Amino acid sequence: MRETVSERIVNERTGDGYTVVHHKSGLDLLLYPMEGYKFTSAMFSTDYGSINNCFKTDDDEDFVTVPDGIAHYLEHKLFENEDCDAFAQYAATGADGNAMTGYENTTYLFTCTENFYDSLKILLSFVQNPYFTEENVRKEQGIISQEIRMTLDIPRRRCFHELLKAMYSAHPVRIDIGGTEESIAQITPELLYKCYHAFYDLNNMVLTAAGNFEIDKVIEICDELLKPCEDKHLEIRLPEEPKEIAEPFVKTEMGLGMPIFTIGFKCPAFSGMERLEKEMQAYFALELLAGSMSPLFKRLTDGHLIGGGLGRQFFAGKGYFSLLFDGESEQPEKVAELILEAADEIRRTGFDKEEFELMKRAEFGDLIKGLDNPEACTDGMLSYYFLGLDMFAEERLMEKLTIADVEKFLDDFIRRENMVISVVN
Amino acid sequence: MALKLGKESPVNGLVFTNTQDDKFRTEAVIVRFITPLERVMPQRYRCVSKLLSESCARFPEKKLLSKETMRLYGAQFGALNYSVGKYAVTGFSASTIADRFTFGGEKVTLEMARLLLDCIFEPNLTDGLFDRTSFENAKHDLITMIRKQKNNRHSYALERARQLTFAGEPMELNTLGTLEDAEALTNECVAEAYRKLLETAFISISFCGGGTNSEAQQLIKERFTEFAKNRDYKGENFERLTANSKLRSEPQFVTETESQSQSKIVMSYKFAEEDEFAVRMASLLFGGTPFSKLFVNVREKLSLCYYCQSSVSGDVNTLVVDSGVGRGNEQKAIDEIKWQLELLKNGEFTDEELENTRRYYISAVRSAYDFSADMNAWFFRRFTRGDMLTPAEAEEMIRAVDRERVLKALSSLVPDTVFVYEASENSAAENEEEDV
Repeated sequence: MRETVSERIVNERTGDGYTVVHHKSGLDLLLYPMEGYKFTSAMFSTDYGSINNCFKTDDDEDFVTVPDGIAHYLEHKLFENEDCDAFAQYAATGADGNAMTGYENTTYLFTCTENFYDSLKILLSFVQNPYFTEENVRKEQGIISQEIRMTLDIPRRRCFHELLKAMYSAHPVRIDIGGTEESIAQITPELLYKCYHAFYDLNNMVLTAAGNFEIDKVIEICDELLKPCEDKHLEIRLPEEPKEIAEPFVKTEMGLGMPIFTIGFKCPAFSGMERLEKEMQAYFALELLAGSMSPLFKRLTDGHLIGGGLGRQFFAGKGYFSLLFDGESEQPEKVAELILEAADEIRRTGFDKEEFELMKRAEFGDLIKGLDNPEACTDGMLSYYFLGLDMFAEERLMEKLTIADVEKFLDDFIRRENMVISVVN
Repeated sequence: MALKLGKESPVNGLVFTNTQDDKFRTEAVIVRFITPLERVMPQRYRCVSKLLSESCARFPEKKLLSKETMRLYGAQFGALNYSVGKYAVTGFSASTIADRFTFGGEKVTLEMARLLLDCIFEPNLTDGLFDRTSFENAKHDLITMIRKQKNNRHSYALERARQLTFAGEPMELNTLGTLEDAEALTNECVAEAYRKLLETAFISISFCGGGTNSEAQQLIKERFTEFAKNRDYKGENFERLTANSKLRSEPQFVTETESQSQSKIVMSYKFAEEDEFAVRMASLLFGGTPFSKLFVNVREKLSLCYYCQSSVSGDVNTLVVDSGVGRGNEQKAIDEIKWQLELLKNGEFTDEELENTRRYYISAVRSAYDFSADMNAWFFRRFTRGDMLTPAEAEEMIRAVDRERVLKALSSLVPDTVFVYEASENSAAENEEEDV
């Protein structure tokens, strides 16, 4: 077992910072006390999401494939202990508990304005004490089926999901996080325990907290409650994803009052620092190409090809990376053509240097604003941690970002052959 | 923590409030114009707010205004449109980082205040009309928003239930207005609405954040006070904006069918008596927490749904329950929701449940201190109720709510509307086929 050691992460420009405690149990604690705050946010996360459906540990002879949606199902069931559920325990401390499963991670969280240490004990305890029975697993099926059906009725989510299915032919990101009603019917207590023991290993997890607390007291609770895990040499298998898209156009009928679209560009996947660099290049490329300062935005709005704006984001994780535009339009294919035309124009003329510098300044402002918010701090520490980075890495990287990097990113990836259009009518 | 509060009304029809805490690194100004909620004008005001938030005489195009906000360290500058009781709120919010965080000590908060004033008082008008393209774009955006209301089945069900619950009262309207009215909008009527908004609206201006923008506050106060002194305000001098909707002698049951995966249920109740904190405690106990009666019974025990929750509309005497259930389970869910309410009314809740609910409620109220925007929203909500209660004062009032007051609040609930937005038979079959 390692010794508990701490290090301090500091933002040199603002003087803000947080402490990383490498706890002897194997768990890292990212702790950000904030002076003058009553509110505290805490998250206990595992590097395990819906895409991890094929894996192997020392317990297995070969790789095992588990039903789609099992990470999300596990998240639901972990709230239930042998004696009572975690919500009932939080009720006595006043904390507001919740959890979320993503493609890559699962996070258990709570927020509170009092009894933080008692709530932290609840969090650390229930996540480390799974209790799955035939009966309680079966009971959850009705609830999760309704959650799946609820998401099927959200056109924006349906449009995005259909886009991923058209973009990726092998990678499990093409499967919805919750799975299907058919796939979750195959989930058993044994399978849940198998996934739990593979992924809920403290070496594969992290605890983050920001707000009103003392670091020493958190370490004390961790000393008391964290159970060191045996290293089971977890291996994850992700299928080889071709660089080509699966289908260029998909259409779904939902009887909408106004058609919606998502236009995506498939890019190769990146990891670690390179992923963060590419994410930043992607963000700047999207804003400069299609943000409210751009000629493309003016063309789309003045031509009434979009109503209410054009959403822009990158979507990245282990084994996938894409650029997305979304909105409402009667003519989504025309919108896609104008995006391609605008990208060609940038290839000829380059981005506006003044706008590039203004964007950097605006981004710096956004980073400062985020430091006012304990939940944003918790979330920021967490998302960078799983990339092997600290939450101030973005700011350091932004200083080095050049307009040529952004132009190259656009040139490499905003191309017709990478493009998928998903429309919901 | 050093929360400072201020409120002043230098002229009839104008009020300034200030909530500041030096731990915040941002500064925000929110200008709200309050007018009666009626069919035509709020839609036009919405169009006005869109136009004013995207350009002004100094920055006559959205691109130029966007560049300016980027220069002000990504200042957020946007329009607000919503209703409170029988009133429509049209407004603008502007926020940026405090000057001390800028690279060269620039006075960004003062510049942001100037920009806000320019957008409101110096719009991009030629011969009294808005720029033609900007107007057409704002109209197109409005039409898109109206058309897409039905896209999200959950929010549509809530909106439809609201219309049914308040039928015949101003609260049945929303500020988007009708498609017919939107299609008939002209530049002339929107320009006229701009002038009317300035002349006739009650104006509420809030400053929130770290409180380091005294020059900006001064500039805004002087400009608005001068403006308000020179207009002849004949509207109400609001004591409160909340409304009381009339009680229904018999509840109504309305069903609409849609091709969707899941049926949505919305049930509304009205309170005959008002005891704000007891009513909210009752709602939280019923369906407002993950340990409430609806969560524990409708979701966890019967596995009927993923969500089943209740909430109180603070601006009208109404409690709303909403849930999403599988086709065929609608009546079972409705019966269980009604049964859980009946049990509560009969006092079937423990002291422990009441105390846990109280703790949850207090925690939510206290958290307002740590989010600048929440603090502003808190005091605007208090303004709509006619007081300036702080979260700490509210906490004391919540502590004073006893079992009897909760029971009294529950017993004053009058069933109003059950709206079932039912999944059609075909859509259920389609989904089953998809899953196979």
